Amino acid sequence: MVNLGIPAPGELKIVFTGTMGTGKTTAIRAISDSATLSTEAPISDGAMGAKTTTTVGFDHGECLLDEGMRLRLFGTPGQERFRFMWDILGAGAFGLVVLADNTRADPIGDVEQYLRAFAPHVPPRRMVVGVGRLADSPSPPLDAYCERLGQAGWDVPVIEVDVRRPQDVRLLLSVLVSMAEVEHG
Amino acid sequence: MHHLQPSSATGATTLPAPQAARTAVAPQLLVIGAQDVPDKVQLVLRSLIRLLDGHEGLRLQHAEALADCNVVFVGGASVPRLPGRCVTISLVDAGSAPATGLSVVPPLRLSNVHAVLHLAARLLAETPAADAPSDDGLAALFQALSHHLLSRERRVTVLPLLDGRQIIVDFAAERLHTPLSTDELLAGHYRLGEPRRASQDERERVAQATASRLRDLVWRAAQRLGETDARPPALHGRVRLQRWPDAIALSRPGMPRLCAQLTRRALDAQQAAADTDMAPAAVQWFLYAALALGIAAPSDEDAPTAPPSRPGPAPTPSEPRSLLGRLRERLKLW
Repeated sequence: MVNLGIPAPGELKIVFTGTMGTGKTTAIRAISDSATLSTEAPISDGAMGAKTTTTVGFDHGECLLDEGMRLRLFGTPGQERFRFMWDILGAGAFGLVVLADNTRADPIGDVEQYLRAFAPHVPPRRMVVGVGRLADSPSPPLDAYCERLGQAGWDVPVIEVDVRRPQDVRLLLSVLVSMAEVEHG
Repeated sequence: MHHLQPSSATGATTLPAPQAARTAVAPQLLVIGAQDVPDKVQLVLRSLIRLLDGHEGLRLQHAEALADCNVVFVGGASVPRLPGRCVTISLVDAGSAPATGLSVVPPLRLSNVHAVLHLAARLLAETPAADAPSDDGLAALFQALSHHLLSRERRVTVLPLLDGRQIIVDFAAERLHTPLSTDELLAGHYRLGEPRRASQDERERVAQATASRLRDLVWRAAQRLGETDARPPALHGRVRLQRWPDAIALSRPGMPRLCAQLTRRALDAQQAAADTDMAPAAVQWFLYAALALGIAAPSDEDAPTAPPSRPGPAPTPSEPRSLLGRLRERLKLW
């Protein structure tokens, strides 16, 4: 059984969130040790390009460290109607990765929504935003993210990523870990 | 009050003359990558690089992109053709010999990697630097770009090269147009002429040509210059990052930690280098690029202080620093 709530001693919990199709499942699979647990269902209102399923419960992956320690990765369902899962999965999280799809109508607004939703569980210095599909849609640029999020009080790292590349996912985690180390260094 | 003087902004100082841009005593940085090497072996190699860095004069750094490397461990049977001046180290079975370059017999250990890296450093030092990065051309290009960026000019500018080619920069769109590849630009084997405004005809041609991102070049130039012996521009006073840099700027070991420090509080280059175990020159080139690109600003903070934002939760037994350290090792985070 997967413990969704407060992680046990020796465990770090990192949550990936974002709208449908931003690559949360892909990101978790990129760095998990073995098979990940995904609760996917066909997209009810039609496929999004090649994407025909979406996460309706959560994704879960693990990365075993040594001496029994482990990194636990959770992906939230993106849709607002599964919001109750966000509080469950956010509890006790070490960090939050918000993934954005820059081809959407208001990707910055999307990000803001998730930052607000997880703020009760994760402080700003444990949040990072990864923006995907900038090549397909260069606007809004990253500067616009930083400006608008900053005005709303969210001084969080905003980084262009392609989560299909494991090194990009590792970069997001590296930023999270670095912020935590510096905060308590 | 601290004063920060990026050279191009004030005109008070300039990048050093080419002859003074090198320090003869600094050992060459070995930027080490791997190709066709199993993940487990790469993990060992990264750990050994960290352990051996600074040992007996070795300056070592790991890089993902082979184009950034001057030493590459190769696992395959054939030695690949690699860009620029690069030493290959083949992983070979005992008794067999690689076609070219150096070799080491697995498993990788402190002793055999130490020995072969010393040989690689010697080879690089003895190899004619015909295709090695030239601090002079690249530093001049970096200076020209940062001068325009710091002056906040937003026009289309031509940077002519003495060989007749051109680099046309649209500072408003932050795009760059040139027949030179990024590798050629970073290699620095050119001499810049006097920058001038683009003509109407040139602006129209540029609008239709393919372009690359100016920011990417500025970050990569700063990285490359930080890895050479080029002396960085003088920066006095503290600097604070106003936002995180582009992903490309974070692609070097230590950079995420450096940025985490500098988004939290203002530091001078020496403090930032000491806090992150990075080379002061690399930090200084980075800070200069960040100032030029407008994502950093001088700070008058008298003493490093934490920002007023909510701090993160205090470490709990479930996230001791050792756990973060293990995570770094396991996922190859830098």
